[in-house]
Amino acid sequence: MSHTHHHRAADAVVAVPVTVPYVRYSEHGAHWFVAAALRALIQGSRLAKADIDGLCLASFTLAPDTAVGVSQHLGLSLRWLDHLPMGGAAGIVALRRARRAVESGDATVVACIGADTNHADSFATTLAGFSQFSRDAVWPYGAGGPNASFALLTAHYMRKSGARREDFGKLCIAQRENASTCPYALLRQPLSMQDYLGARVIAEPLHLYDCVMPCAGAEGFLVMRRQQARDLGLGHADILSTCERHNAFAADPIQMRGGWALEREALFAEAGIGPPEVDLVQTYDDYPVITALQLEDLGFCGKLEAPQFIRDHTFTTGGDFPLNTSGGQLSAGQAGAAGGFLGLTEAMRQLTGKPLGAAVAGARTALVSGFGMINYDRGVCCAAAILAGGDG
Amino acid sequence: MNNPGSGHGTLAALPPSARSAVAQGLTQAAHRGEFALQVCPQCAATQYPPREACHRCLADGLAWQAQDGRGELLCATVLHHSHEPYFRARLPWRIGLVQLAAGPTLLTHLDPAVREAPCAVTVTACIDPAGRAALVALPSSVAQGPQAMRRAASLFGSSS
Repeated sequence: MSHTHHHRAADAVVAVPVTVPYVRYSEHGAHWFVAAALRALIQGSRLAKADIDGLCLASFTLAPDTAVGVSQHLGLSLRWLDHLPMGGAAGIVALRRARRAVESGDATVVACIGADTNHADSFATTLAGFSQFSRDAVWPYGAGGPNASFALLTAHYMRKSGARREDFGKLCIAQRENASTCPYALLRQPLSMQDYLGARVIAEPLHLYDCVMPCAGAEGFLVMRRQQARDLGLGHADILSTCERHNAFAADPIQMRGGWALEREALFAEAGIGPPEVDLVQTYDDYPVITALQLEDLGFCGKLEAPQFIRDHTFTTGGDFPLNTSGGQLSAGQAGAAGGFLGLTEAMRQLTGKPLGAAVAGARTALVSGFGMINYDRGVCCAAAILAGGDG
Repeated sequence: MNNPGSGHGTLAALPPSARSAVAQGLTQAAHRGEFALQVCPQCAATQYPPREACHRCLADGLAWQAQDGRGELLCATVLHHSHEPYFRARLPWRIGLVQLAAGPTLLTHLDPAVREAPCAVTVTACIDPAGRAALVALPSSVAQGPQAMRRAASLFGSSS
């Protein structure tokens, strides 16, 4: 650890990672999952419900409600309220904004929650109303939903970089091994390369195990001042730096990079460390090609070098590059907007020495990345955060 | 991903017909026999998907202008799964991303004669079975015009 902490009394930290166990389908509404996450946050922190005076919420399935409706539904009196429509980037953006709210004094304790239900037909409904561009220019082509969009990005990336299906398979198989010890992952049975390569095709070149499985569930955490976390005896992680960048590189004809590439220098500079000093990485992994882009754009390898990086490293919790150590969404399932919080809760657990599954030995720093919203032909929202084990 | 609640594909189903108001211009042009996109009256940037204002300079009053449709197919996929009953009954279905020489990237259906990416294509519009404009990439040997639009329509089983 080369960086030095400059603790101030107003420093915000992140604490109490919670997961509402995932289920493939649920009869409950999204509000049920938000409530379950709040109960877990209250139980885990020993705070009273009234002590939570800030809420930052991300969900696709609350309609017609937003976080406003949730505040009345769940009887919360809040002096700081935010609803983030940023999908897979929402967890990190929530952390980023909640931190500023706490440090400025606009809120004292902010609950950050990503929660979604999954009815038998709600995924298709969510997709159909996803965005104006999607409704006008994607859905009418049979391509509604992310499978086809990621198939196109993957086909293009494979041609440009020389990535093979086996490269993506290696990531999926390692994450499945990571999931095998993680009680909340929906997919825990071993995955072989033969299974991966031989799975049914969804949208060429994507096959079944390249595609995240939609499910219901929630993830959440609390942001509060360091002193309060200490007083409550809560394990917590330091927020070394965060970034977000939306609609970067809009002139690129097809997405081969994201906003991380514009922000990574400042992200690492603020954290006071470089990529080699990161002990574990949680990428946004609804499809493995996006992990490849994040490894490149966040500086772990050069542009189009991710295939070789994947061949040169091992990604299990005991490997030389621990990645998506709770299985990632590809093994845990994608509980809607909770998918953008999954990497944060897992990183917090590893950094505070309380992983749900296998521990990454000596984990002191973690980089967590988010990616959201295929509004038309590419993901618009990118975000990342660097966390470190705190003094709790 | 299976979606048991959405039912099976049916040949009688239609492609999705919902469009924003501003996207109706694409369909109106196709009914006139034109493949047209919005062009900015201030900075001449060509726009797609349809917009209320220019993505480059924010000017409004975007005007629908006929396009020659020249472009490059950047990548393609063959769908073996769709949430939409119309396409589910017609799988596998091939689509691709085309960068128009005029600027924007278009998601299009692909004529069977379009080769593997990358390759030159001509994009045109036709009226799909739902009565809305659909973009189709044809081999670059096909010139923009009524013949190209008829060929595009044949993708949906209609030659008119």
